[in-house]
Parts: sequence; structure tokens; C-alpha cells
Amino acid sequence: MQENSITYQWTGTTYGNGWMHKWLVRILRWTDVRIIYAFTAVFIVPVCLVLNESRSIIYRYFRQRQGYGVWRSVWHTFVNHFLFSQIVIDRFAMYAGKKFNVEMEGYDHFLQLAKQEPGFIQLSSHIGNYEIAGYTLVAEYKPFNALVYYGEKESVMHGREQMFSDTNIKMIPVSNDMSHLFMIDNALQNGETVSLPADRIFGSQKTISVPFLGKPADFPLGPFSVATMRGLDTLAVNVMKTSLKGYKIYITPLHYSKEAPRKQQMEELATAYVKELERMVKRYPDQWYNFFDFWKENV
Amino acid sequence: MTRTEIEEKVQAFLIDDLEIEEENIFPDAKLKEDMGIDSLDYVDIVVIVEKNFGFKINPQEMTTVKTLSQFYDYIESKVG
Repeated sequence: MQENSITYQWTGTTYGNGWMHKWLVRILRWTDVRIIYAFTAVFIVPVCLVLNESRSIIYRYFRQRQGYGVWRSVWHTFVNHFLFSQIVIDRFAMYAGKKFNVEMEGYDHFLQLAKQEPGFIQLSSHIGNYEIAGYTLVAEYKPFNALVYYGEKESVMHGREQMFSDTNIKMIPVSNDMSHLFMIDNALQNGETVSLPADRIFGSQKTISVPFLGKPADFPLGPFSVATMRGLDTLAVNVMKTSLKGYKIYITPLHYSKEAPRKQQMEELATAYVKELERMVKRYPDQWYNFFDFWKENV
Repeated sequence: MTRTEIEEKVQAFLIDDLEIEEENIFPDAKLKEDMGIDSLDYVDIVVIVEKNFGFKINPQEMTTVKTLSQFYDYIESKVG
């Protein structure tokens, strides 16, 4: 295991401002999402590709990490951005009350851990549309806590709060004063579920380097540290878009030797997480949404 | 528990669990700047203190703890 310190941080906010989001929700109440997808493909995605650096980041991802040729990479850079716009639209469509068809693989693993007394960890990634999991994996047996980025737009936070208002789901905002870490620890001590993204940095700058798609990449140490500190069972949960109105949730248990030295436990857990992430990204290469230099190709 | 016992236990977990170099552990050492303890390590500290000293750290109280000596004082005030 190699621990590093990283200097970049992706903020991860949703594009657009509050009134745009409100209007989008209103429009989606009476418009089919496919019409908005088409509008986005023609008018929004090309503009984003011209204005944002994400185009070169994603192009490099296809060329260097997926091994695609030049024109195939160009096409898939467009597809990636188009799919990302669909993910964002779907999120607002859910706030507007729209339903999606959701399939699940590995639900038994979730159910088994949800029914046991100790808390457990769900590790997510910035692929597909993880927010769907929050609305689908019902927190029937124990409260579910999701770590969310505090700087997210008010309209998005409001939409999430509305969606979660009748559920057993709580949001833990990442904050600079480390209070989220104490909230996570409290929740786990109370035997609750905590969901953490494990492919982006929050709070601590400590990372672990793990080979991912043929090159070492830095992952935040925090989620693996939190899980192994209390020897908790851990699941990888990824939600991938499979059709215009369909998603599939993949729930995979991540194994590590709980009796091994702590450093080894973190290493094993990080390796298991990255292995599952790689499996997903190879299966759904267009749904990779870390729009920053993940492998530090330019360093 | 005496002050010396507290100091010995704290130093042991700083070295063994947080892998802090022994030369960086001295009473006036700043937790963040000198010892390199960051927000992630606080999660470990909360659990380790609970296991070793039998009380739960209050996050509000920890915000005033800046040096190792102040950390000893804080633990002593809870278990001394």
C-alpha cells in the first residue's frame, strides 16, 4: 500500500443554477424525459464539450485507459457526456415524480446485512447514477446515512430532502470542521448503514494507490479506514443506466481479513473495491463520471 | 489513572496505530502541523480513546485541543 497526499479536489456540484433546476423539475412533470434528452443532445452537450475541459479528460480516459482508437474515443466522449446529461435529467425527473425501471443484482447481500445488528458500509462510485440506489434500497431495517457534498446546489439538496422526507434516510453533509466524521462514527456505532463515495476525496487528503485500468490511481483512504476501524462488513453498490428508463443496481460484498493488521485490512478492502469498480467500468465504459485527471496523466 | 499512564497509552497508540514517528511526539507538538494528524485520524482517535479510556470524545470539546499536551489534559479531565 502506498499512502499519498493529493492536492486536487473535484467539487462535484450539479450544473446550472437554482431557477434552472426548478424549471427543469416543472417541465419534467409534463414532458417525457426522452424529449429533454434529445434537446440536451443537440443544444447542451455540444456546448459543454466546447467549453469544458472534461472533453480532453474523458477523451484521454478512452484512449489511454480503455485503449480505444482516435475516432472511437471522440465518439464515446460525446456519448459519455450525453449519458451524464441523462443521469442529471433522470435525477430531476425523480424529483418531479417520474418512475424508472430498476433491476437488482445481489439484493440478498444487502438484506442480510440490513437485518443484522451491527452497522455496515456501502461504498459508492461516481459511475452510473448512485442516487437511484437511495430511492430503491429501502432502509426498512435500519437508518441509512448518505454522505453528501455540502456545496451542492440548494435545489438539488431540496429535491433530495423531499425524496427522503418519508424515508429512514438521512444525509450527512461533508464539512470542513470534520463533524461529518463524528456523525459517521455515531451512526455506525448505533448499528446504522453509512454510504460513502470511495473514489473522491472528502476531508482528509490521505490516499491509497491501487492499480486501476492498467495504471495506479489514488483513492481516498477515509472510507477504507472507517470500515476497517470497526471491522465492518462492506458492500460496493453501483447503479448503472441500462436503457432510456432502466437502471440496474449491482450489490457486491467486499471481503477483507478482519484479523490481519489494520494496514493490510485497508489495502485488501481498497483492492476489492477497485476490482469491482473496474468490473463495472469495463462493462459500462461510457458511464465513468470522474471529470478530472484521475490517473494524473498530465503529471 | 495517572498522568504518566495516560501519556504512555496515548504515545503507544500514536506510534502503533497512527504510525507517527517517535521524534515527532513531544508535549508541545501540534497535532496537525507537527504530528500530521488530519481529520481522518480523528475517527481512529475517537475509537481508540473509547477502547483505551472508556469515554466518547465530544467533537465540540476536541476543537480546542491543538497540542499533544492539551490532548493529555483533555483525557485526564475525563478519566483522572
